[in-house]
Amino acid sequence: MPKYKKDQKKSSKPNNVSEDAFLLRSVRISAILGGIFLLLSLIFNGTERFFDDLVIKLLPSISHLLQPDYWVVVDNAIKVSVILFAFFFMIISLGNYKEYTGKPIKIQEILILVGFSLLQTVRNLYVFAFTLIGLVLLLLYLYLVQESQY
Amino acid sequence: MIIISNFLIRNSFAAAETFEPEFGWAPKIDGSIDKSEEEWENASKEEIFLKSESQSNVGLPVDIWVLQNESDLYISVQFELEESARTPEEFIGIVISESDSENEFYDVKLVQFSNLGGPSEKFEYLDLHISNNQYFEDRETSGDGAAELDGNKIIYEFQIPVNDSEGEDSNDVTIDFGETYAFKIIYGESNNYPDSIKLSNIIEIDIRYPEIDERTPEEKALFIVAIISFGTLGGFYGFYLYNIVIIKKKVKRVRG
Repeated sequence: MPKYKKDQKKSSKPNNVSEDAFLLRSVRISAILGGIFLLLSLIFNGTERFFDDLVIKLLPSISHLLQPDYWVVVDNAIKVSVILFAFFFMIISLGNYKEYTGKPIKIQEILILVGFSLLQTVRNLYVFAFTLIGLVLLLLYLYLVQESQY
Repeated sequence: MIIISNFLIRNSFAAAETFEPEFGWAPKIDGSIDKSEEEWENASKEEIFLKSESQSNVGLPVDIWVLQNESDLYISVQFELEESARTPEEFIGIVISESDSENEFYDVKLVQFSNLGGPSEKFEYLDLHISNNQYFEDRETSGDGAAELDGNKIIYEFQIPVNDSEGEDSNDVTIDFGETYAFKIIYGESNNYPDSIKLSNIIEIDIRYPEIDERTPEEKALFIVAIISFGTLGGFYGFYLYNIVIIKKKVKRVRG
């Protein structure tokens, strides 16, 4: 009996170490990706330079491909996407951070992240509306993924 | 009085048309107009007549379309000619004056055809300048031009840089916002410039300043809110990154 217990203890330690290393790597990589999308969101949603006609300003040679109204749709889709990607990576990073420290992620923390994401959309009602829908769908997806794990 | 007035009339200059182009989306310079993509939708459009020096006839009616954006001026010249009236080495050129005066024509943008209507039809965009009434090729080519014959109708399209202080070429006229320039539209039948020029006429174009983005007070307030929001976000993100950096120590302390 003692021999069996000793073996079990020995074999469980490397698993914990590798799981911790994985969590820490996930926390860091997700935070960096979240930061990159946050920076893109600042450029597209926060600055004057790219707020209007962002695709046309980045790639003037393709301006003739679509009518101006459709470019507005593409612009808004890009703005919504960068906010959702930033939220997605930040919530993964925060979730894994909490798991690493041994605490569960609180509902207040999720709401703060949602609030921060919506703060980025204050200048455009369409971006706000579609980001809100996107956030609800993302949270639903993450909730269902968590539920199916346990 | 009669002599004086005659002298004045002889030396006065009246453009066939003055354009105040609207701002619009850049058309593709390919000699065709894609209506499904609303190319040249906002262009100022007028018909003028290209005339010979003898002025014995009314001249060739041509449609002139002018459009502008923040970086370029776009001019399209379109007209119809019977096949029998066309010459294989037809060209349309735009001679740009350094002001609204007809005495300061200097810069030439030209689309020259070879074998027009034939099996080996092709065109060439040329950037030239005038010196002592002779045409010389520029050291650097600026702008763009293209043309396409469709039945009896031919469409020439030109793109001319505006306010191009960075890539300024001494052989080009620098077209500035807020100024009026004279443009002479020339039509000819071979590449022996300027002798081959058969018809011409002058238009004036007022180069407008780009529309200033006037945001409403509400939009300005939202911009300030956005800046504060992103500043706060940046602060929290920095704090979070700091926590990630010290996470190992923190956990060690808790677990240890």
